[in-house]
Amino acid sequence: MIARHRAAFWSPAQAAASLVQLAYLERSLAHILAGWAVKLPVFHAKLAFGLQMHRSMERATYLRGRVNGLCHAIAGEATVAAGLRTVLERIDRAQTPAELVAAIYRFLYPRLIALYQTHLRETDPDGDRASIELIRSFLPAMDEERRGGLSLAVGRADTRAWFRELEELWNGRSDGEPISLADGLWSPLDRVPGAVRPVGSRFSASGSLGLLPVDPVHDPRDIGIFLHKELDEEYTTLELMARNSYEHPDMPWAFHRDMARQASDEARHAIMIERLMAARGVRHGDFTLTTASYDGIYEFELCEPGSRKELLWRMLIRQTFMEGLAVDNLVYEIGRRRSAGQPDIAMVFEYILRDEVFHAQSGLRWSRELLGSDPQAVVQARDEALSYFTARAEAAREYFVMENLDAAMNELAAIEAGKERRGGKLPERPLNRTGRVQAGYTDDDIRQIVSWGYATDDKGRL
Amino acid sequence: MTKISELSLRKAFLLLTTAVAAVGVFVGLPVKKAVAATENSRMAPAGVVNQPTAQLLVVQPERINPSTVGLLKVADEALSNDALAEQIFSNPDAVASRYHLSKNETLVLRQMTREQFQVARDDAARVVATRQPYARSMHMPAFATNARLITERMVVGRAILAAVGRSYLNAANAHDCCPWNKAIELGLSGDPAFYNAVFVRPAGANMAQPGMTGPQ
Repeated sequence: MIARHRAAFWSPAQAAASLVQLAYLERSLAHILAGWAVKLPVFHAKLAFGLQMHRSMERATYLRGRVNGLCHAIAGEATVAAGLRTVLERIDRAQTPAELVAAIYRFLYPRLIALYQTHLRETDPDGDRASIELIRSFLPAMDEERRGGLSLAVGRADTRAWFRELEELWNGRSDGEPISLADGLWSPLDRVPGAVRPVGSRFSASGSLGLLPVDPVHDPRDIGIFLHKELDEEYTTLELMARNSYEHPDMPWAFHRDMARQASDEARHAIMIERLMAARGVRHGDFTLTTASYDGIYEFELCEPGSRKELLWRMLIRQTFMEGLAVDNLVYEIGRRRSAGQPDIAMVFEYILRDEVFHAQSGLRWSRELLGSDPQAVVQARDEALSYFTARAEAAREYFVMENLDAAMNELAAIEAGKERRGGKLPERPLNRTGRVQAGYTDDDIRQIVSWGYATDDKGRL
Repeated sequence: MTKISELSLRKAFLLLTTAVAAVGVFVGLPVKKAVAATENSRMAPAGVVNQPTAQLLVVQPERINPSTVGLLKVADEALSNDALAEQIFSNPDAVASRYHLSKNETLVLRQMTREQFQVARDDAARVVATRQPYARSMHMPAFATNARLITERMVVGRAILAAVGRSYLNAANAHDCCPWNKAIELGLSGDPAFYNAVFVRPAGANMAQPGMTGPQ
């Protein structure tokens, strides 16, 4: 309830000071969630972090817009005190997932919600109406997030000493030098070269071809494998994009929005794929897991750890190469699922296709940004990154086969069975030119993927 | 790929491939038949250790009896029987029939070449020569320095690779599913020694990142 009869409300400067604090808290929360998603040992917690990372980033963006609106006329800049960063960085330094989840949902969320409510109470209901409307739209979702966070089963933590320490830091949040919203985050605290999975998980062996469905369209078991593989891709991509954001806090604000959106998209995709699996009696973990799309793309010997080049290669391989193939194949997949009487799978893929175009577009945008807006340099860098990546994979493959002759023969049997089913033909890989163009691929980009043999362009319009 | 990339990166990795194979297969690392990761390799960075205990059911697709015993037997005999070796190169189907090899084993047999046998012999001899000075002190099993056993495994392994296709693109086309997935697994769930070997910096690699930020 806004007390309109009050004589004095916050000034625009006070409102901006409150909003920038809220924006910083939300931005920092997105940063923490981005860093931790891959380290969580339970899948539903990864999903929650992926979804919430995006919401926090978007709230921070809206709030930042309001701060700018209140500061622009006087050429001012609202800042927060370094003490606020200290408490948030300390939360990021939690020792276990249980400590982290407790700190976010039992310590930070109540305080954040209270700060929002203070703003509602103290700001001018007419002068700062836009902020009030924003905050009112945020609060129900935040309440839901808090309740969801409290139910995450990531283990138990004795939080007494932990919360005492955080409380002390929180009380000093107004101390310290001023820091701006744009560059006020802390550097990444760690590197995580392998995606964490639940204890007891079983994995496809490195260098193997993983699960090999023979007939992923008609055979129920192979459809299950197909969906299972797809689900693993959603999780690993969520984790990789989140780390891209976390490990490069100095990238532009729009980059972090893109990474957060993609992490959230992947979480939604995972939820939809799990729905399809559940309808077919398949659970995640019924088959061996793969984390290759995180582990295999996280770091490269030719890129200094944490460097922009490493980030560039991750984006080139995952977003502009692999997700480009998804843009191609999903259209084909949607058609054959419809023909096979699987409208539920087709519909989910319709939604996923929409997002994949954005993901490829984002990868192209930021790759170009890192390469001086030179599309040709992107083509060249992709060639270099893919050449390294595929050579490394082929080395792993050779090692695996030499060490596992029987398993390699098993793979051969599955491949031959699939080939026989297709009448000796290779799988179809039609190019989706419309999707590629919508994503922003240039003719040179498209020519490259076709020349590598990963897609066929029957129309031959290049 | 462009020629520059072909020449620099591929060459570096062909060398690396050989090195990895040598480290893993021929220097006596324990064979990792199980696909499960060790707990340590799956853990998050220090401190992130409080994990639940969900035990997941593992179901691996089973197709046919994948044993390579028959192929190893043929390769072994061919190492000391030139006539058999020649027949493998000139008429593998007849050899397959004589040894009752399956259709898929026959596919592999067709990939065996004279050159492959010779390269395998040379590689195995080199591996044994490298190992022998340390064999006793390191308590290597006898087979670790058995050139014949090493050679026949190399022959069969490389023939399987040739039958399936060695390239990433071959792997991507191995099944009618999800081409946007990685085609070859590159998880950390394998042997850490292998991981370290794969990530060895190729000689002469340029790590400089012009205009790019450094590590944390």
